Amino acid sequence: MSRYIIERLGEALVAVWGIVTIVFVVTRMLGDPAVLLLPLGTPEAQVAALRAELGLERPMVIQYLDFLIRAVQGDFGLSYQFFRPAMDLVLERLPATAILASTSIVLGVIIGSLAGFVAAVKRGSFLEFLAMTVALLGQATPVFWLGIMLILYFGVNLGWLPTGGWDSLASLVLPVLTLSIFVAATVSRLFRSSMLDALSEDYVRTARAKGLPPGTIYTRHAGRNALIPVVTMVAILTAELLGGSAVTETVFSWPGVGRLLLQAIENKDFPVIQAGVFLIAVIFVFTNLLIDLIYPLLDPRIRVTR
Amino acid sequence: MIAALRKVRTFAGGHSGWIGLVLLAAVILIVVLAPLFGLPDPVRNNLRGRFVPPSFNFLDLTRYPLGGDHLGRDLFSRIVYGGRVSLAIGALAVGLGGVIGVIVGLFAGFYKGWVDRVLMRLVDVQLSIPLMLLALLVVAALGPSLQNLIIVLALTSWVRYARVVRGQVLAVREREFVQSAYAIGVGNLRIIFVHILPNVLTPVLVIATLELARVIILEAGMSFLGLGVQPPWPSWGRMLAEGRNYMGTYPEVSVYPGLALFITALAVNLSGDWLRDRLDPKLR
Amino acid sequence: MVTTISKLAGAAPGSWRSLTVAAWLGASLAGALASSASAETLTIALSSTVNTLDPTQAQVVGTDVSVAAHLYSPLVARGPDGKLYGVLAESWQPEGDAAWLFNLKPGVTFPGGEPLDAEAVKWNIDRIRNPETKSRNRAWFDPVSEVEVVSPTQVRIKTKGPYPTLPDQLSMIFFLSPEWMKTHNPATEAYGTGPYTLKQFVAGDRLILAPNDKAVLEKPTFDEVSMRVVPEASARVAGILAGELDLAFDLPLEDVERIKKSGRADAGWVPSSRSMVVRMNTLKAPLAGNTKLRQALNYAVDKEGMVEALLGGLGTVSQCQIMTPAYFGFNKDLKPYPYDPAKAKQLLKEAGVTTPLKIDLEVPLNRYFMASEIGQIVAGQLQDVGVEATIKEMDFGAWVKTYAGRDMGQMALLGQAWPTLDADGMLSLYAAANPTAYFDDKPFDEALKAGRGTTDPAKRLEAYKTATARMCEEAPVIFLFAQPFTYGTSKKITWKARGGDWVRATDVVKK
Repeated sequence: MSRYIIERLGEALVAVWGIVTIVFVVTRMLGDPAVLLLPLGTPEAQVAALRAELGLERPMVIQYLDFLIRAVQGDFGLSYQFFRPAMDLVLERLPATAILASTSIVLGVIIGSLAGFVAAVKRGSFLEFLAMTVALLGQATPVFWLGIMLILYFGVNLGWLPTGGWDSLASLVLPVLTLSIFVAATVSRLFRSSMLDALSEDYVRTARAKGLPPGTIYTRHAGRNALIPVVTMVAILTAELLGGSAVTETVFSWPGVGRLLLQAIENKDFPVIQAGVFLIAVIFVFTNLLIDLIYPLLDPRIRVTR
Repeated sequence: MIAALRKVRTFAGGHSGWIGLVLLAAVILIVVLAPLFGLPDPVRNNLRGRFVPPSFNFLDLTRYPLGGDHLGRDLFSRIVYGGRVSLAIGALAVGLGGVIGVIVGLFAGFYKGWVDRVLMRLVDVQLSIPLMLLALLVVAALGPSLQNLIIVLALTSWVRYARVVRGQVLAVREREFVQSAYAIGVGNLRIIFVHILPNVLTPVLVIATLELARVIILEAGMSFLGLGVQPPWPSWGRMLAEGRNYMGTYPEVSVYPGLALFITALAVNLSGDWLRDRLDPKLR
Repeated sequence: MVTTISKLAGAAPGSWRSLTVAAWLGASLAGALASSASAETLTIALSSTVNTLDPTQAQVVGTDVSVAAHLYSPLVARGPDGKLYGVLAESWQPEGDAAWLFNLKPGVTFPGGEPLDAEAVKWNIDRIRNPETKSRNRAWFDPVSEVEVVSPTQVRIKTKGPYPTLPDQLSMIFFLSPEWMKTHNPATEAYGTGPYTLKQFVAGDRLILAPNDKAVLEKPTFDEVSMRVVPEASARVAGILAGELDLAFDLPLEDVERIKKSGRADAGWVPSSRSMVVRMNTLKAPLAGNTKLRQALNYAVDKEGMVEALLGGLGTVSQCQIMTPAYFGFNKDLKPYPYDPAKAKQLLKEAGVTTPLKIDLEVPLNRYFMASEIGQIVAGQLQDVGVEATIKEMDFGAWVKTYAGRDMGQMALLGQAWPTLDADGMLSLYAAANPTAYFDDKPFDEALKAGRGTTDPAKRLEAYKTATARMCEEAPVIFLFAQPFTYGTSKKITWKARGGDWVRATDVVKK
């Protein structure tokens, strides 16, 4: 087991290296930050001077090696637009994103699995109809649309909640609601269908025939197995949200990583893009490792470690 | 008890399935046959017709049944024509992403070991690269086109299938029927596609229906980067996004395209459930 | 599992709910109290993120430069009326064509007591001019040859030639304490002579300013100024309507009327200093050397109609020049090309163009006001006279690569402004030497040169009159309109609206 984890960490290192390398190459193909940083119409000599100042006139290989050597030491360079270390900027925005992501995931998973469970067990009932309609709304409504509507209703019409920003517990409510409905839609639909699948398995039918109480059947026999796709998907969603959801953060003026990264991509702020993607890569690689360690707990027959 | 349960289930499942199929067929027909209805020009501006209120008169299509948009174009006509692009993009991106993702997931989960490791690290790489960066790269390297848009959308989508399918396969491959097939010498590919695949399709169908809506909405973001549908041509995603600045004043500009997307998602969900019941080896 | 949950819910439904509701209420109440604690708090919404507090690097007027203006002092500043007034400078005048003399107010000190005198002014300007500082504003001082301390209250800035707009440029230069700079980082800290001091800086979210009790040049008028970053336009409208924001900018046009009617807040607009234009690449076929074609396109576009219908009247049609009346050098005599499709068709014929003429219209997004909408309308109207414009929307960063690389497509939609509100800067965008000119016209360049060659305002005006008339005639752009600058205010305040992007608490008056 521990050997497996060590091996996986080794692989993770290679994956992260691959990602930062790809991003390094990709960013260099996107255009010239010097042009974007100076007012339009700046003389070319001056643009060239800034490019040299940013170290972008050097041969690509040298730039890359320089980047790698520094990155290994945790130095991703100075942001072109913020004039501060890129990693500092990302880390400074991380708490806001982490709070939003974790609350939304927890709430979304609770609502989603309850709805999915009810929909599967009470098939054909009004409850199923209700749960699945809500899931459908969450699935087909763009996040920005839902976000703005919630702001207009709860922030302006009713005046119950702040319209945006990050200063009190109350300002967390609307963004969390927006994101968790989206998470709940995915979770409930996946959970419902794999639950239905599991309920039609032979061993569940046998358990039923034996007269075991439904509660035991659902939780012991059907539920756990049905969780595999849900857990997988939740892991992807968690990692995605931890990387920052630029749209939600923009709509709710939330100072998170997503907005920072979006701005960095728009302005070709290479150091910030690299620091941000590095962080996201680490998050993904670790959640996926975690998932592989969780699988055997859900279905003892699974042996990933071999 | 079981019989009763099955009865309710087949009834509800059967009927909602048919409703879904009919609805889906209707949506596709309307969209495909759009030029036959004599709809007003979906791209011609008419500044005097900005935000004309809807007449809800679908018998006289010249009277703005769903109102006018922010440039005075007939919303209904734009929704119908926009559906052509959105549904085509959605179906192709979901199909392409689905096929790639399912195959990757099947192989990774079945062979495990280094195949799994390599493929899953590829997934990690794909997931870590922000969509916007990917889209900008494709625009810069391959140029803007609908085809490249579908490639970008499929790229964001295959990883979800891949990881979920792999997780399922890891469990299914240990089951008796797979193990016994293996024991009697059935070939690997046959085991993968004949014995395992039908047992992992349930989540695949659910993800496909979720992805369809996601991809249609994402298309808007891509078209603002130059990939995808260029104005004045409409798409549902674009129409939703264009309504963003008018949500407080003229919400219908984005509500109606949203409704079209909602109906389509509903139809696809119900049809997906129906398809799943048909495909589920345990129910045959 | 179900039973447990239903038991839980059944056992204490009230307590569950009341608990959460209490928590919500508590938090929102706290929020409400904080914002209404004192009528003397001013909350301003900034439309984009504050990048740096360092005035040496500040470039974006709407955010960084405006923030710096609260914390630090410049020599001169531009008032809401568009005129310069002295802040640190008592008075200033040109000395011939090669120097400006500034007389400083005596006795101004930084919070620690060190003087902000001629010596400090020289130190700051020299620091910006020093390549090692890596200030992106260095180019403003390219025409400066030397900064000379005449006396503690007099500083002479020598220039390589006439530099008539130096005082305007200096309105964006703020003074740091040489002493303090030895040990502090101005990117995240502040220490200046401005009306406010930095209380809190939450990156990406907000900036809270407290009054600077020691300020002598400009006095603080609020107990607290909070600048919140609210990037979504709808959210700014919501914040104004909900009373959370006192001042917000760049609101969707339709919402201006809605806010006014709501009775909860107020909104308005002023013409901004930014002109929307369709750039034409006059160095590329088919627009190169074909003045009649370019004029035809100007006749084909209904500027009045666009302002009336699309902007709901909130805009002013450009007077056949890229400058608005707020600029020095605005030419009162020019009139816009009238909307005349027949004349356009005739000119197209005269130009020897076979219709339908296919042409590309690039529309960079997320930068200019209603770009997507305006692009579609222009394309639609060109279609009516037989010019098929294919819209190419693209990411600004990708577009600017070709634009700044002397490789713009046939046409592109953009907005242009110059922060000093002077013809010299604005019109230079079309001087042949400029990489983004896409216009090479000797008479125009000659006129610009004449304007730059003197500090005499009358002579300058004459030169720019020639230049603008020439540009109108040659039509290197389709002249559209001045972008409206919309704003919303709470009932607590009134704002002295100005066309520029400056955001200043000093422009706000309590009701």
